[in-house]
Amino acid sequence: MNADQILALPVPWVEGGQENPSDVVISSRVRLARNLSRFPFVNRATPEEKAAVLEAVRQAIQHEPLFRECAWCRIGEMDPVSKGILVERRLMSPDFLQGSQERVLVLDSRGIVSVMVNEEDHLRIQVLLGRMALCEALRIASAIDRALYCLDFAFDPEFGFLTSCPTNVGTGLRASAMLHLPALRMSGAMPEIIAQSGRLGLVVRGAYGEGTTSAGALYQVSNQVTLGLTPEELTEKVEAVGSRLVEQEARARSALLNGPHELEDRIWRAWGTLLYARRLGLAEAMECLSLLRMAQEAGMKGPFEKLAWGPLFLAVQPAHVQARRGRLLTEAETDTARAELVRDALGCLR
Amino acid sequence: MLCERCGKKNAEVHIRQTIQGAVSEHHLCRDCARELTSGWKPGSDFLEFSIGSFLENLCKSLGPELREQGKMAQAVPSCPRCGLDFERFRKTGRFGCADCYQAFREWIRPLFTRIHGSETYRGPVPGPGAVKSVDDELERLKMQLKDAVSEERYELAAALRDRIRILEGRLRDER
Repeated sequence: MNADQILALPVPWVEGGQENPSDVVISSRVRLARNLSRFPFVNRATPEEKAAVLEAVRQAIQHEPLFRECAWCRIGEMDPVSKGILVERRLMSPDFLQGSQERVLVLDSRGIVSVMVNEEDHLRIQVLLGRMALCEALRIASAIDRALYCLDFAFDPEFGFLTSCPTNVGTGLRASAMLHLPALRMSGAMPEIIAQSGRLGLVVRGAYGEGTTSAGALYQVSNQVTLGLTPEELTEKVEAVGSRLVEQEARARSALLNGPHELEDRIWRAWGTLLYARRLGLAEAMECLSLLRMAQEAGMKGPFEKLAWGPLFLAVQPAHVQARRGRLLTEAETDTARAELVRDALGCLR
Repeated sequence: MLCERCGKKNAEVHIRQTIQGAVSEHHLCRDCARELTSGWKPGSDFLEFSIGSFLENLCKSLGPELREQGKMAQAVPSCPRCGLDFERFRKTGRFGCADCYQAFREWIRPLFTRIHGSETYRGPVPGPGAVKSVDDELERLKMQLKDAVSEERYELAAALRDRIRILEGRLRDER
């Protein structure tokens, strides 16, 4: 699969932002880690054994209706820009990039399901949906999981699904929701929220940067434990904490918007930066877009009302910028190309 | 207090983790704390960075706990299938194959309790007759319990019994 084919795939988690702009929750993801019992785990497997895992997976999915419209991407044969796009669209982990020939990403044509073969575990089944939809994501992931039981997953009645790393054993489940929390970050509440989440067996952290200063004010809430609770219980827990954060964010926004005009000034400055900058770094672009998204959600009047946040958020990511130019760029060239594409996108809204 | 990782510098970063009632504490020097959290990459939204780094500590600190329980006095096991020995597992924090879990069963329960606050799985069971309902699962667990007892695998039997009790409780609540 090349960059153009990947770019043509739908990205449900960033689309539709305008139809329902009040969503603080950007996306929901469920990941299941599975291993085939008859092969050593990836870190101890020979290239031949990893190739055999791949072949077993290929046979299992070729007649499975759930995988009817899937692409089979050999990571070792892909160019850096295409691989970067897949990471930026969150269809595979950055670690998966360091690909041996036996690494394959199975992608469904809806852009919802991706399966990494021979990552840290033999299989990483991932379902990615827009907004808060963790239960639905779990339902889909579980159906795929059951469809692949023919692969004879490593399982122990006491410990559950066996994984390479003890932090994934049991359900092998990581349920996470990505939230846009600019007001909570501005009010300085994030360090306390991050500290408290550990007590619940959850982790809240920046999705794009260090904990309290995540670029674009995007944070991720996920389960930390994988053993002792059922997949449904873990997912419900993440969803409950996510919903609580949405309420807190709404309160923090209302306090900020009813305060002095400082926020309004920052929003218009962000608009100015995006419209006139000649070089635009990734973090700066994400910060400005975050402010405009907040303005939209608050119903502020201005040219940013019609901004499609999701597609632009993706377009400013480095590999997406490079794909548009059709070649690898230096960081400085990327910043210039990013500024240009943002100017074009915003110019149409004026 | 010295850093529990390098054992050389003073511990200035103190981490207290409570997961479902199980409390674990870590005391690190600034350099080790920085190093343990440096594996995270911008753009990555996969969780392993934090847990993975601290896992190394958790695994290393397994030694004293097991010594207290007298388990280190027994021969440190190796996996008969992939050859991974327990020392190596403690260093890397990674299992080599499914059989490692069986080989290290006694040794890894305390680790699981510290990471997850539990050492017993609850959830769906794979297989050709994949579990469709709690009733099916109860039936299957009871069969497994019978086998475990007849094979004198008492640890497994105890775990199965616990799960059966949980499921029976849930069924009672539902009905």
